[in-house]
Amino acid sequence: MTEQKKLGFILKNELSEIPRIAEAITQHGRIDNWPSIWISNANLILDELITNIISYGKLTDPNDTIHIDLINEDNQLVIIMEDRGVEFNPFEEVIEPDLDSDIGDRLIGGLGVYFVKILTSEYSYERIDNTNRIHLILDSPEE
Amino acid sequence: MLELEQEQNAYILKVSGRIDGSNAAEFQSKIQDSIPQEASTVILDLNDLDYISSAGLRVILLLAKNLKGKKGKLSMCSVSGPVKDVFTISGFSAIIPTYDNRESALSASD
Repeated sequence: MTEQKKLGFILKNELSEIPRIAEAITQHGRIDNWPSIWISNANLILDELITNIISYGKLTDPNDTIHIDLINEDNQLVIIMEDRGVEFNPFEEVIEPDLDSDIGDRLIGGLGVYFVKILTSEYSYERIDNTNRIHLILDSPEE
Repeated sequence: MLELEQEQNAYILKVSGRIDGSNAAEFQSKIQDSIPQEASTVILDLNDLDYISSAGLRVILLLAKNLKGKKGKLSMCSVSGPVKDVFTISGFSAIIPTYDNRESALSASD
């Protein structure tokens, strides 16, 4: 087992938190020698999930926060995201992204969660103690 | 975030920096304010765009739909790195003509 290195955030219920954590993740990832794909994918994944939670009003109390841990362990990046908002499993989102239609017919929506699903090797959601908990794993890129 | 230039018969939108969940609404209103109603050929120059999320893609799709509705067209140029990856996995590269550089995009729009 290799040394575990963790980066943690507590986010306010505001979309303006997204660029702040993107900057911090990028800086930390460079210092911790993350593969560059981890940095870009972690930023995109978290942007999509945070935007979902905040934009769709899943945090009903203005003082609600989102807790995020990114853990570099055993050649994997583990991301854990928790909030105490309304019960919400983003992976059960009904809308499937439309990837094939022409411009005129293409539906808007569903892409954010689709990105999370295809950029992670594992994703899961559970509701524990009135908390939404998302668990994600990014594998190391193949040599 | 956005600069408008006009070259030949095309309006070129130079998009720069980050377009994420926090500023996509601003990106959308800036596009609406920048592009004249009569514009039919619009090229997005993405050379200085560092990052885009699905919220930004949504704005670009709306622009493409709007232009198509008035028989115009949208194209993109100078897309690279993680931004290019996002356009590829979303399927946008397949529906919005994408060129290596601005010159190629302008030539194709003639």
